[in-house]
Amino acid sequence: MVTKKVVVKKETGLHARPGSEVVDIAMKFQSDINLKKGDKVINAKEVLEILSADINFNDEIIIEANGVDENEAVKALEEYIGS
Amino acid sequence: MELLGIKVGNGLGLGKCLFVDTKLPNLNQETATSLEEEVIKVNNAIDEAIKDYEDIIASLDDEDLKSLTEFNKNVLISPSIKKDITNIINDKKCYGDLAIDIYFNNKIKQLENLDNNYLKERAKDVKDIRHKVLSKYYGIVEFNPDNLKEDVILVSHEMTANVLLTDNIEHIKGIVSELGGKTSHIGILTTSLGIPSIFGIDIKNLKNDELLFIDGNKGIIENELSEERIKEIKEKIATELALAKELDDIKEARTLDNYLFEVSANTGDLTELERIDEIPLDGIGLFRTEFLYLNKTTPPDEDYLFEVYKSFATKLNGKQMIIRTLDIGGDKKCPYIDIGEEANPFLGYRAIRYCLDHKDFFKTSLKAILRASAFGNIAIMYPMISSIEELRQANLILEEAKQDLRDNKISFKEDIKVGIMVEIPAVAAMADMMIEEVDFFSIGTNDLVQYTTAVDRGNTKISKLYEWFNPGVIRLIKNAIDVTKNYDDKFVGMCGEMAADPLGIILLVGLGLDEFSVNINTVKKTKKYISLLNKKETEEFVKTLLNLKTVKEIEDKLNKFANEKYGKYY
Repeated sequence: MVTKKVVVKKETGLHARPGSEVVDIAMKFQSDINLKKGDKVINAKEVLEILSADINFNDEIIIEANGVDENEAVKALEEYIGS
Repeated sequence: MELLGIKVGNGLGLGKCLFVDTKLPNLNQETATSLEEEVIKVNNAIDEAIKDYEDIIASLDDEDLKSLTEFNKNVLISPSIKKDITNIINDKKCYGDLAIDIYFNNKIKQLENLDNNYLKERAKDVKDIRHKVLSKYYGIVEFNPDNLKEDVILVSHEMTANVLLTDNIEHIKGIVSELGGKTSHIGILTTSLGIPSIFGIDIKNLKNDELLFIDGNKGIIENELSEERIKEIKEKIATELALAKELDDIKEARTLDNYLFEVSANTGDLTELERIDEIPLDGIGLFRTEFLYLNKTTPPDEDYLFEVYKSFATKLNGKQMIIRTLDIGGDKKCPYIDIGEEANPFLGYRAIRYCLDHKDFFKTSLKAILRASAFGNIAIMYPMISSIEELRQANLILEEAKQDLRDNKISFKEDIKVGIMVEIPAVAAMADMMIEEVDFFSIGTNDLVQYTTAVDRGNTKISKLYEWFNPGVIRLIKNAIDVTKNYDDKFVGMCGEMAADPLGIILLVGLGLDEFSVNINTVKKTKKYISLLNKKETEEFVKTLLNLKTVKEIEDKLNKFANEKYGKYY
C-alpha cells in the first residue's frame, strides 16, 4: 500500500469538474484507491462519494492506493489534486 | 399576457412552447415475480444510459456541457452501483424501478443534507440521472433535442440540464422553468451558451404549441401574441442579432470624438474566472465577495479568500479589480452570521453595519484583500456606507489590518485605493464631503433607486415607480459624478443594471461617468453603444434633460436620441 499527503490546490475544491476528473484518473488504475479527509474514507472511483465529502481548497487529504499499480495511481492523483 | 420571472440567461427568443416533462409511471411497490430478471433489466438500463451519455460526449463541442455529461456518466460507471441496486432488489424482493429509486434517493439525500448550496444544486443533477435510468428501465423515449425541427421554447416544472445535451441547440430559443436558480446547472449552462432563460414562471399560464416570446434581458415571457406584436418581436430579434455579430471585434469603448470610457465586469463567481480572458473587459468594477461566504457553514479562512482574489487579480494582468467587502444581510443570509429577526432587512443590519460590529471578522477579510494587492491592481470598496463616521471607522480597521501585515513582514500595496458604494441617498446628497475622504465612488443604482423612490421592485403593485429616470434619482447620480471632477486622481463608476441600459448609457456618458461596470455578458454590448456616441454632443443633449419634470418626457427624448445615434442597433 502507498499513501501520500496532499493539499488540495483546485480553487473550487473537489466538486463538479475536478471531482469528476479524479474519477477519470482513478478509473485508469486497477488498484483500490481511497481519499481520506479526517476520519472520512472516500472511494476515489465513486464520484458521488467524492462530492459528498465536500473537499475544499487547501484541505489536507491523504491518497491511499493498494494494488499492482499503486505507485502510479498515487502519483497521478497527487499531481492532479495538488496543482 | 406578460409573465415576470427571474432572468437567468440573457437574450431574446421566439418559438413554440414545448413542455418537456416526461411523466414516469408510478413505482411498482409489489413483490417482483423474478428477481434475476429485475437485476438484468436494471443492469441493462444503466448500460444504456451510460451509452447515451457517451454518445452525447462524443458529439459535443461545448466544454461545459461535456463536463456535465462526463459527471453524469461517472455516477453510473461507479464500481458499486449495480451491486448496491442488486442488493436492494434481493433484500426487498422488489421490482427494479423501486430499487433504482431507493438507490438514487439515498444519494440525493446525502447531497441535500450537506450545508453547501453548491452541492445541494448538484443533487438536482443526480435527479436527472435517476430520471434517465428509470426511463431506460421502462423503455420510455425521453425528449430528444436532436429531433427538433422548428424553433421552440422549452418549458418545464423543473428543467433538467439533459435537454441541452445535444449539438442541435440552434432550435432551442429559450428555457422556461418553474423551479431552479442562477446557480443551477441549467442556469449556468444557458448563460454560457447564450440561450435566454427565465426561472420562477408559473407554467400553468402557458399552453403547449402556442407562440412565446422570451425576453431574457428583462425576465419577461409574453404569450397570446398578435400578428403586429410578432412582427415587432422579429424586428427586435433581428436587431439584437445584427448587434451580436458586430460585437466580436469590439475591443474598447471609444466614442466617435475619441474619448475612451472604461467598461468592466461585475463578478464574484468562481465559474467566471475562465471567461476573463475571453471578454474584452477593462477590469472588474465590482467583485462581490458574498459568494465566497454564502456557500459555507463556517466563515472562509483568510488564505482561501486570498487565493481566490489573487487568482482573479493575476488573471487581470494589471487591470483594476475593485473588491467590495462583504455585503451580507438584506436578502442574503448566511448560517454563521446572526443578523437576527428584522422587520425591514433592507433597512437593517447589513453589509458594513455588521462588519464594523465584528471587527476581527472584518479585519480578516481586509487582510485577505490586502495580501492579494501585492499580486495585482486591487482596490477596496465598502458597501452601504451612510455616513462619514462609518467610513472613518472602516478605515481605522483597515489601518490595523495593514499594521498586522507589516508586523508580520507580509507585502501588500501600501497606497491601495479605497472607495465606497454610493447607494444610500444620504451619501449621494453629501457626495462633495464624502469624496474628500475616498479615492473613488461606485454608484450602485439597484439600491440607490430603491432607497430614493422608496420602492420594493419585487412588489408588483408599485414596481412601476421603480424608475432610474426619476428626476430625483438623476440629480443624485449627477451630484455624485460632478463632485469627482474636482480631482484629477479620483474617479466614479457605476455598478448596476442602469450602466448597461442603452438609454442609461446615453445619460451616463452625458453626465461624465468614468467607468461602467456591468454583467460580464453585456460588456461587449455596452462598449458598442458607447462607441456609437459622440461625447461632446451627448453632454449637450443630456443638459436638455435636466429640467424635465417627468420620467415620460425624459424617456421620450432619450428614445429619440437613441434612435438617431444607435440606428439599426436599437
